Amino acid sequence: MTASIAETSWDGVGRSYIPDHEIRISPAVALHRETAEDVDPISYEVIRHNLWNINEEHGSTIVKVSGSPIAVFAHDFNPSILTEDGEFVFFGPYLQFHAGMLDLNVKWTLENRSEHPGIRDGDMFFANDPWVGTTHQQDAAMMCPVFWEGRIFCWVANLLHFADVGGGTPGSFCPEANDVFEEPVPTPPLRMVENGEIRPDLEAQFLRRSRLPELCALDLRAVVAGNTVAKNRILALVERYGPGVVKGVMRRVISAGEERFVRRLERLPDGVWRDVNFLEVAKTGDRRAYKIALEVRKEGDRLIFSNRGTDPQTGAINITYAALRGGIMCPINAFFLHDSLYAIGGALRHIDIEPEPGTITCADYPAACSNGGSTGVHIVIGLAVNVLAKMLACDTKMARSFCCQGGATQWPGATMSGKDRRGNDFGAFLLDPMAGAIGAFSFRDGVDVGGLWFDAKGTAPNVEHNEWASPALFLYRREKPDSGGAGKFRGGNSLELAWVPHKTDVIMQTTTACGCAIPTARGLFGGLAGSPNRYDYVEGSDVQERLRGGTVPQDLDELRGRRRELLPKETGIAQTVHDVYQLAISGAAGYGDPIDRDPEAVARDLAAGLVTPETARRFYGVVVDAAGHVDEEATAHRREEIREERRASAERPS
Amino acid sequence: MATAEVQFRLGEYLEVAASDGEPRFRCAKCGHDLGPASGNYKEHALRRVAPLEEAGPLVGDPSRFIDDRMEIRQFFCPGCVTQLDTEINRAGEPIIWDIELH
Repeated sequence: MTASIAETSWDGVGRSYIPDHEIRISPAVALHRETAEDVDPISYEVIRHNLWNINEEHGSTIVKVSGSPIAVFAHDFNPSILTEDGEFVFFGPYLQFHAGMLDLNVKWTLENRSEHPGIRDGDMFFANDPWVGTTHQQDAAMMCPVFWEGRIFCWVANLLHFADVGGGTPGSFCPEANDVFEEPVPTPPLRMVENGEIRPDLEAQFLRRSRLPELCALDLRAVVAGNTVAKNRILALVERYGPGVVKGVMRRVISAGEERFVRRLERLPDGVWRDVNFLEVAKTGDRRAYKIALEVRKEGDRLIFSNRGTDPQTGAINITYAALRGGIMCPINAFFLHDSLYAIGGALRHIDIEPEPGTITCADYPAACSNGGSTGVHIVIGLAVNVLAKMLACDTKMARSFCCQGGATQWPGATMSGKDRRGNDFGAFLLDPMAGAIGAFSFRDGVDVGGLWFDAKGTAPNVEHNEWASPALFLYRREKPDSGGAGKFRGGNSLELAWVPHKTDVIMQTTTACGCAIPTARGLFGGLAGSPNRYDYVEGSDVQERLRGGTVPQDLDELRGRRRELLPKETGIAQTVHDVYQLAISGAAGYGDPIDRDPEAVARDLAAGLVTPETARRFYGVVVDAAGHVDEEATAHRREEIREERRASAERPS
Repeated sequence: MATAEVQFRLGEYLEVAASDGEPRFRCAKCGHDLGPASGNYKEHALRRVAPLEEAGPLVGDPSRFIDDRMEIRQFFCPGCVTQLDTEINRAGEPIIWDIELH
């Protein structure tokens, strides 16, 4: 059955949905297409910024209504305004990989729901199907058609990561899954809202899957409220300026973004840029590495991406076409469209993706995808960063537009569950990787604990929030020296944190990560990789004695007990109050040869505790004296020594 | 040696220069030739292959978690030994052809 399903077309059932250039919409649904061509410049700017602010209000409404830390802190969502036939007008400054997805969901709904059950004023459609268009089942789309005089004028839509949508593991990241049948249920678009009301039968069916039904119910109201606010604001705008004028502005926003994107492409030569990275441990118990490849071909005003060369789909680390596309769009949005108010529809007209199906980054049904949001999509983001950075480096002006890989290049999942201090069930997904580092630029260092550049408004929660959300006491959270990749410009340092259960007997822990054995933040132009993720654990420690004695341990080496590293995908870890869990989050990549770094910059890093003396000597070739000043003679000698080591140990080209 | 006119700079250490009408990569620091721009400049660089643990101060032995043999490859300019690029790759995998100009 699986094989026959996989042999079908790119329809979102057996294989990911990829719409044709012209989508097929039943005449049962009428679209508003009239466009005023002569909108004056003042009205254009006023309405353009109005639309932008509507989309922003859409996002802030989700934050205000949702009680989920995933929405409130991580901003793991994105609101959008799309045209009547599903082209992006405005995307939001939140999680950027949703850019590859919302238009797919709207187009699929138009192609498959126009006739039955139909698309009506007051409807909203819900979906969390990776083969239609989400990163993983935890990311759910809610799409709302905006009607004007009986026709679809445009769409407002959002995609939000829900805290728990079922599956075998709390938090719904399922590291043991062999296929999607062992994961949360994927749902193709269905009419969840009718006449502006959430359907109670479908809501009950959805919440029944979740370990956190109250939180999911709030999230559901948040995404409905966001759409409702945006819809009402757009209708008020249409009322005021007329549908043709507002539609004319929407069209021009897209075409202006398109022109800007094409002008930038014109500065760059044609060619092909490629990179390879590796995921590891496809599921619990596995011990292999998996090749992930990405290339971009530039031909005039088009970019053609392909994942050919990527290993076949396997285990629990897969993503579908939507997440492949979303990962690619992250650096497109940030590097090419940073000054375009996230108007990405025009750029998408010039981007083709030629996916290799049945692979880890374009998996066919029924591959396991629930971890895609922490593994597959992040590896694609990093690869897209590198291939586009090497393209942009061909132009001195555009070479200032990119940064090296960073920002939790593989999100180290740490999911907690159990009973909280009041005896109630709790579930928490540690959001501290949101404080991951930003990679080096071509003209300056990266940013230590700078956050996820592809989630510009996202933040890490403070420790007090963590201690409120889970029955845990955090011993420390701090920057990690040497975690930033060495380079002429250093990658940003990341962070490490440690905790013990508090006012509960045990916390059940699950890890879901790649990037523990193999560093995934790869350097550029001679720069080195950022540090890998790392889960350390001390079982049966004396931490409680030390706390009773009035000291808070600041290093695992201070503790007695059995120390081990947790596996990248491990379930069933029962952390007691005597067990200390430390998580180190991957650092960001460096740029340029480390021995080209200004020695004074290395001395400043040493003084600030950002690098250690051994790293300064070994990787940067910098020696400082007892007062912290650069020893110029010793530094010159050490750097010459490194050059000699290179000459002596390298093979000559054949 | 024919005179070469720089067409454009490519990142920190590479530039493309036309030599007798043919675009070629060369080191932007010392001018060492690194082959035709339509080819892989890494094939013309010094190459050092080392265990993955040498990729950074916090990189451990990958055999803790995986059986695949991973390595770091460093590519140096044959003239000035500047580190032009690095790869982290599986042993036996071909060199990544990262830049192919048309």
